[in-house]
Amino acid sequence: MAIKYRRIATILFSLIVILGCLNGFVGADNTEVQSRFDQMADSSVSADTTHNLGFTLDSSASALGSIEFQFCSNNPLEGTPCTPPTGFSISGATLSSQAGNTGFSVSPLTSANDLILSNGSVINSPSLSPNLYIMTGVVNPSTVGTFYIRIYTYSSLDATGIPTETGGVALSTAVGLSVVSYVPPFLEFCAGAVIYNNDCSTIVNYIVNMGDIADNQTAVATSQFLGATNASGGYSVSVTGTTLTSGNNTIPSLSTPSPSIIGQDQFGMNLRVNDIPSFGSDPIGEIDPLSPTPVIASNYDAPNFYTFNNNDSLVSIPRPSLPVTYTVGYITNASAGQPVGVYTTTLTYICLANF
Amino acid sequence: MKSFLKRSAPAYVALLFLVAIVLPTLLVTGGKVFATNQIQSRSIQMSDDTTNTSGGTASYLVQFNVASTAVVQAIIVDFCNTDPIPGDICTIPTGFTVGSTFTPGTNTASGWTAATANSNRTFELSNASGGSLSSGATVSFTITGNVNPTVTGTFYARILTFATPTLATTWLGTTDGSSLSGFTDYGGIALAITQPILVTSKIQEQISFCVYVTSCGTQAVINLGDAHDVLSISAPFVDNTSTYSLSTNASHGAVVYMKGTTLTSGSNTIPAAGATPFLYNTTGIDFFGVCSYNTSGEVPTVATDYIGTSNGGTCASTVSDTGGTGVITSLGTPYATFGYNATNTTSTYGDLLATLVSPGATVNQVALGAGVNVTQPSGIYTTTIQLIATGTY
Repeated sequence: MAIKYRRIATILFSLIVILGCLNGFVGADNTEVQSRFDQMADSSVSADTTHNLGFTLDSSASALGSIEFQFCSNNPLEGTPCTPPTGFSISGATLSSQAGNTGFSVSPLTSANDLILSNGSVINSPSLSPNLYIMTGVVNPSTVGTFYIRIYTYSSLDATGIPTETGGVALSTAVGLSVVSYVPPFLEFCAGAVIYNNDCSTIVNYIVNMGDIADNQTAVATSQFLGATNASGGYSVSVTGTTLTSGNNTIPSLSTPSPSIIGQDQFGMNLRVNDIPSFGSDPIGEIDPLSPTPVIASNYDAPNFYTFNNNDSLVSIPRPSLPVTYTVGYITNASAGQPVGVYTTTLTYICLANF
Repeated sequence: MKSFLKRSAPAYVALLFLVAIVLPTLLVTGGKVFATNQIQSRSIQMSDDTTNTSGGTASYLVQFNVASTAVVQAIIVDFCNTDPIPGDICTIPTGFTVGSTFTPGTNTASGWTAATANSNRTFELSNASGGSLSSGATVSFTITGNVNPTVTGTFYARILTFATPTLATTWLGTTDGSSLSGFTDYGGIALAITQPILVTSKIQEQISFCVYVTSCGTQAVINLGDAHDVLSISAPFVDNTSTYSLSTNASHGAVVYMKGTTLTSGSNTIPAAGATPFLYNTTGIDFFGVCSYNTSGEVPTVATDYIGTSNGGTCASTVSDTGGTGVITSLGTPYATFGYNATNTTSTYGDLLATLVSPGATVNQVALGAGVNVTQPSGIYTTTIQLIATGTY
């Protein structure tokens, strides 16, 4: 009987001790850590990311030996049961940086949802400057929503004993904002008598009139075409057509770049500004100054030299290009024996983009 | 003897009847019997019934109805820790100090002065010009500046009325409060000092943050472009259907950071609007940008590059033109500006979008804008923008 009473007494004493300890933990009048936060580098679910854990001690009265960050899904209230956030893990995280009170390392006591930072030695009068502990390799919860951190500071080195200061933090995972857009292949090309401001919509006329052709002067005229594309291989422009023709009569075209000679039968063109005769224009527009690769075919790139051959390439740009307007300058000379007539031709400019 | 009893029986019955009539006017207390009338509906209402450990004082509202139709020129309230019975020795409750001032009440409105006696145990109210009060008349006043006893438990008050201040003074001559002479009416009251109820609750740290288009919790997917999500070289496309809601009780407020690349397709990107407000005021400009505005709740401070007002317009004036033909006026009139600091948005924690300086709830729109020029390589451009809320508690 005496043994039985002793056992009962022992159990009661143990219960009293346990309750006393719990009371000391739960009801301890510890102060609250201030300015506490957890800034995540990525708030998406299951992200393997960086957490910047920060707080400021309220008092330097208590020594600082260890810090516990307990992650819970149910609440941030210290001393209450903690439900680990689903999918969350900090056990494999690395303490990559620390500021304020330093000298901490990740304790082996750390578990998936309970990070314990232990110091090598107790800081007897800890600093009240902001503490920052950057943890990399933290795996976020696998569910969207709020979860919590309970912060405890201890005088002990192993997060045991009554916390000296506590505090809670709420944070949230969130879905990202997913943005999708398509950029289609662009090829902007047009040809006409005149194009203003690199704008195809300004074309109103597709007919070029060279006027009267005489053996004592050179007839000149111009037309323009514009090209632009986002094709990675750029674009090329060629011309197809015949020389000037009137029934069975033609004015021979210049098969090689040649100067304009009055009194000879000549039809040709180039894409440059000329002095003899004075007309034409160099390309204008948003030419990339960083890529000064010649874009005009060499046969049509020499001022005062003119030529025309069916299917000749006029322009070739090996990269995407903003709008550039090219001016085609035409010259016609005729000898005294050139038959009278109305000489015409239809020239077709073809642009090929290389996507 | 029997015959004597028989003869005397009527006389005894008459005597008992007389005693029965007189008894209500006799007070039997502690073995003492004296003639008096007991005041009715008596009470003392304490403004604070806790011990005086805090050093504060309490007010006592004294109320009663006089029992006798008589002149009342003095009232004594004697506080005792033993009992409320006149004639017993009165000991002051531990730590108690009666107040020396009063606030007039019913039938004590004018002419009455207060005093204390017996080492701050006894309160006296007197008025030499006091008149007669009818039986049942209410008397009230509030004794202010009382220091409650320092121990919890019951203590008592004895209320006595006197026809003259002199009678009260005479009564006070017996300092232990045991005098039974001179007062007109009498009444005892029990009071109690108790421990206050300590109520403790904690409001836990809270934050609720959602990024969505239709409702919180749904994936936000923005197809930025025309009906086929295609961007145009002739006008930008704008979408302002993205919402973020934030509510928190963080004492230092919260910040929202934005993280993510600009629109990207493989190695190709649509240039970000930049760290300074970007104005799309002509066609064929490459940009991807963001501005943000509040729609309800607390108005956060939006970072300069994302507020959209640098051209005199507002981000709130933008309209979504996804699904149709892009028009430059979707940027509002005057045009809103956009920003996207690609350097910061691709840094560890992203770029600051907005700051909520204090606890509260806020709902805000994020307007996304993009335009391309003709050289922008074709492809499917995507990005995932992460909004990250951080509360500081």
